[in-house]
Amino acid sequence: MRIPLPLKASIVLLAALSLFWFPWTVSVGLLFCAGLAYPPAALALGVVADILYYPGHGFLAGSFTGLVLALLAALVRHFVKTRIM
Amino acid sequence: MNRLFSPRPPRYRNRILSGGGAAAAAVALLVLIVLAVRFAAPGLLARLSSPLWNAGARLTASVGSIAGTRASEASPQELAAENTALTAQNAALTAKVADLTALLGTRTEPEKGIVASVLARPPVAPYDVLIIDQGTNAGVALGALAFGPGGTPVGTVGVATSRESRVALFSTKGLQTNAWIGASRIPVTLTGAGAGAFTASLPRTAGVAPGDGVYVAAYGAVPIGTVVKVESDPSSPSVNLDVRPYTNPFSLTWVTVSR
Repeated sequence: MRIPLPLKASIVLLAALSLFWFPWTVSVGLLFCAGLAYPPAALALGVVADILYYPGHGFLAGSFTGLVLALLAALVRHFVKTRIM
Repeated sequence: MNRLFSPRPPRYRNRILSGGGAAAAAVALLVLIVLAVRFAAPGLLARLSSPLWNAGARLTASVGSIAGTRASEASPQELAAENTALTAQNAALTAKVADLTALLGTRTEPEKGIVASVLARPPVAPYDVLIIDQGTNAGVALGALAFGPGGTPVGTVGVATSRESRVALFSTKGLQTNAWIGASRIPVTLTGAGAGAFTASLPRTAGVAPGDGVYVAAYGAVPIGTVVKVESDPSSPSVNLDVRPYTNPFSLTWVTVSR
């Protein structure tokens, strides 16, 4: 079943707004949902989170989390498309 | 043969990018735009983000007011917050008096700082960081101390742009801060545990007990929290301390940054 384009755009937009409004734990979940819609969106929003909040030292947790979620979402999409899941 | 000359469907004939390629290009363009704004015009990013952060804060406040409708429920919370701030301020003043009586000539009046509104705080901010609305234009410098209500130090400025700054809290996971514990000012290194909490390790013979104050250097020894738990293993010569700060970073709405 294909997800309509407006629904995909809404999910990505909600994930982007969650970086400003919701606790980061909720944002991680929404980033994964955005990744299911468009896998590169999870990586992009993780980078945006680091651009907004990185304190100047330490590990780039936002970008790394976005990368992991993007890969995970791409894997899930592949399994769904090939009817494994 | 037929495959070479089979016509493409009309909807794909003149398309430059496929649907997936267009989406990836849009996402990449978004990241490039945000990066360009961040480094070329950092004040612009703060101005664009501030309305979203403020809207989120108002949304949170309105949900909280709907959840606690009775005045009797709101009043104890306000009194508790005021009590916490006054307790911290009282402890800071008491420590300052004790130090001044021992160290004559110490400066008694702290310099006036830069009052800044907190735009974003944990848990919205994924790191233990506060985004404040004052930057280098207002005199904020890298490494400057930030104080919460009651004059309690909460962190240092890690990033400062022209219109906004990021204060890295002392409780940032893994961040180490030099401090003192107890009335005898035992030197200790606090390690941030995230979400406003700290841990530390001291020799068992130090004699630290729950309730001892924890101090950091800022216009003298300023208390930032108390020891709430002392964990000891009979086979270990050291004890692990859990420190609870006076200031709750989840509820900070303004800070004062030292000049």
